[in-house]
Amino acid sequence: MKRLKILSLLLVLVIALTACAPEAAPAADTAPDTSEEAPVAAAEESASAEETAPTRTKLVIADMFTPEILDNQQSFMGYALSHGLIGQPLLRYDGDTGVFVPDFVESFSISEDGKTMTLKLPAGYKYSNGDVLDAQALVDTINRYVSISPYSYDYDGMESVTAIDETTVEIVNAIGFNVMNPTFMGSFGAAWNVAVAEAVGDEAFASNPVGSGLYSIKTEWAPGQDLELVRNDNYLTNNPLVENKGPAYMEEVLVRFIADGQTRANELEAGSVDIVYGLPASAISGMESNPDIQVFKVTFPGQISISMNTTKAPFDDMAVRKAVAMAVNRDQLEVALNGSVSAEHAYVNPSMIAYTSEAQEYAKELYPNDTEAAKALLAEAGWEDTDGDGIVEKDGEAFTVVFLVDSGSVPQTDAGPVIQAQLKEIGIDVQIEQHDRGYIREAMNAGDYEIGLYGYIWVDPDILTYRFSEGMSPSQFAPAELGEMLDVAREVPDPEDRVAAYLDVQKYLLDNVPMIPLMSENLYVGARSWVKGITILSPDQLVLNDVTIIEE
Amino acid sequence: MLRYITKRLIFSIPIVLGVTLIAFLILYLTPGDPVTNLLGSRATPEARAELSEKLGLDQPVLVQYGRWLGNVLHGDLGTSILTKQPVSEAIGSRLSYTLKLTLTAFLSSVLIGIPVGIFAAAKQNTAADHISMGIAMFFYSMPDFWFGLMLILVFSLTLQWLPVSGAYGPKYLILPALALGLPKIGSIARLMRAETLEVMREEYSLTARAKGISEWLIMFKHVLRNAAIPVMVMLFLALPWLISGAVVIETIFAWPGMGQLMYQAILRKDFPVIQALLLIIAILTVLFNLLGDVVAGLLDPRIRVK
Repeated sequence: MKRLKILSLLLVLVIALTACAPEAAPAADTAPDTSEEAPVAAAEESASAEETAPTRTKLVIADMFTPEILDNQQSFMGYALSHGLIGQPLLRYDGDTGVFVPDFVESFSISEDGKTMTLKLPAGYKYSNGDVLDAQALVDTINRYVSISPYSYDYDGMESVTAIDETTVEIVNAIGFNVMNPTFMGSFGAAWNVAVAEAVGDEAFASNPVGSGLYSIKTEWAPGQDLELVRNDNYLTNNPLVENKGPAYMEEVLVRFIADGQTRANELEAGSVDIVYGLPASAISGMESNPDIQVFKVTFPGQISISMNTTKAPFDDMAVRKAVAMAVNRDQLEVALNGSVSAEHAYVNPSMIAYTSEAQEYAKELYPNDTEAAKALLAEAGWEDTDGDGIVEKDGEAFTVVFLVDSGSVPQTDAGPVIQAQLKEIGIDVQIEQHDRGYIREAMNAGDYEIGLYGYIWVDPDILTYRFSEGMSPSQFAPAELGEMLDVAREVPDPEDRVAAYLDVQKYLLDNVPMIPLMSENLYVGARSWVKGITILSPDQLVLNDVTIIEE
Repeated sequence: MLRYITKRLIFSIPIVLGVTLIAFLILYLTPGDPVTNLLGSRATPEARAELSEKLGLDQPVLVQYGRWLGNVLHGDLGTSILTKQPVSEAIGSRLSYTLKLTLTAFLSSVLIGIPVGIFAAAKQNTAADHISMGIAMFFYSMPDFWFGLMLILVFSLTLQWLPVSGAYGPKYLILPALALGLPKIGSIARLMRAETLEVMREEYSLTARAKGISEWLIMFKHVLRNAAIPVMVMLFLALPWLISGAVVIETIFAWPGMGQLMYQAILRKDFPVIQALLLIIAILTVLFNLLGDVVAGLLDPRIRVK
């Protein structure tokens, strides 16, 4: 009995000691502070006279994406919010006019032949830590990207980058700037302080980088922790799409990385976060009727498509591919997926550069949702239901295919059964197989599959060059004629001409239909009504320059 | 006893090595290349090959395992592919959160579950027994994520007494610990009740009762000591899994613990992190298994190894 008592006491002691261990993360010691504070000086100076003074200086944001690292030059992923608050893009894309506008740079111009870009930098500009950010510093950051980024091929074709004088950088690119500009308009291509990276080493810089963005890191960050940011008082912007060109009104931002969508929605409803970047679509209907919450919707650039292996039966037959295209009912998908996606008919969606509704109309006309017409196409290809079991056959073989779905993508796993049912209506028996994305991409790139869903997010239609080139095309569709069209389209300097070039590409693809555009994912941003001045720039960049909090 | 422990520890070495080798092989044989997973859809075959070489993933699997094992023996668990952070640091920064959460849940479930089990056994077939076991069964049947959502609904959104999620202080611990601990109360209470009833029917209990010793003295002096053995062993065996965290509860409550680390590592195929976590779990499982046997031996001389 004595031993039992001693053992029990020891167990309780060990548990109690461990439970009382100090917290490792600095962020965890600081609860989200939403108490009232005095208005900030910057806000008082910059806010127009009729505006009410902000009642709080700390903003709390719940982010759906947890960054692995914050140095976007080393990162495998770009996170519009966490990376975008620390790094300042050189340019922005104005989705309404379809042109690039300055952000960090004062101005920029591209030569008539489209091969030389001249960037004019603001004089005397500084990184958030006070280091000089001049032309040479920008050259250094571009060179670091080429040497360190897993996406250095973004700068393919770049022949030179030169500091002409303290505020002028000249970049020569043999293939023009359509491929580089999407990098420049995000934090991947932002100016990151190379001198600090060299001093502390890439490993340390990965978690605690220095940029020239609206905010800088306040408390040393480690992966998995929330991110505490403080206003960068050196910040200036030349972005015409925001009103406040100086430092942010909000002094501090706490970015909380919350993976679960419902938890983010709960936090917003409880009022413990001010903004949620990424509300689940299932929570939207309840939120929209709540006067204390405002909801913004944008569509991610890129899309989820049905990819078919065009080198193997049965999808080597264009009639079969067209039948599948006509069997798909995107309206049903939108409803079934609760509004988390928007229907797409063509290859360049409205959030992408060089979008035109003409391609969408062309696609709708070519492939209306028509089950009977789809069945007729299958019959034309020799597929008919001879035994009355609802599945078509050809040469005694039933039309049964394995349909690959990315197990890590909620829209894909949700869409799979809907498409399965839709294809069943025209007599195709779909066997869904869920696999991890790496496996699916390998299988598709190797042409070792029949049909499946393929998703990507990218703002520039140059993505089509990758989707339809030898060795990288999931549909194994890379004819030379298309390659030439894509090569031309990627280099066209004039935005309007580029729209026309990609319209031709889309029509060519729609005529051959190796992939069927299906849907694009939607992003919902929610905010308490006390948050004023939210701007979302194309395609998915939540911008806080004009944000204030005015509580009644 | 010391000799027995030493022998068991020596026999544990090949077990741990075997577990790590099998885990390594499974990870590498699972379809899907981590490099393809990491790089975006625009990655060229050249970019994939370059990254694969950089991460050492182009080497034969046994060479990779040998290299990993060599580093582990030198105290280096490797570097996370995703975060570029030393794996030991990544684990260290999350361990305290996980221990805080899982041990609070564990302790509360033990402190509530055991007395409830004893109470129910002592009041067998009475209303008190049925009610306490009914509640225990309810806790046992409900999944922890459901408790989590209900607790948020009631205490955070409706009553606004406690925060929805995060890890900023003691009050943030209450709801996730409750959600994690409540289902375990049911299982502990049920086991304790069953063991207590069994021991109460043993001859030595009946003899004690025949001698006129009070029921509570019989319970504490004779019954509990013996009934506690299987429960203690079960608790020791559960301890290693407390380290790996509680993925679902950590996700619902945005708790930055080991469960989140493991989930992200598995999702993105961060091999060094997965390997290190499996190694730690394997070592702890072996150690606590041994500890469980030693404790059982200390409590009951009949099963003590000579």
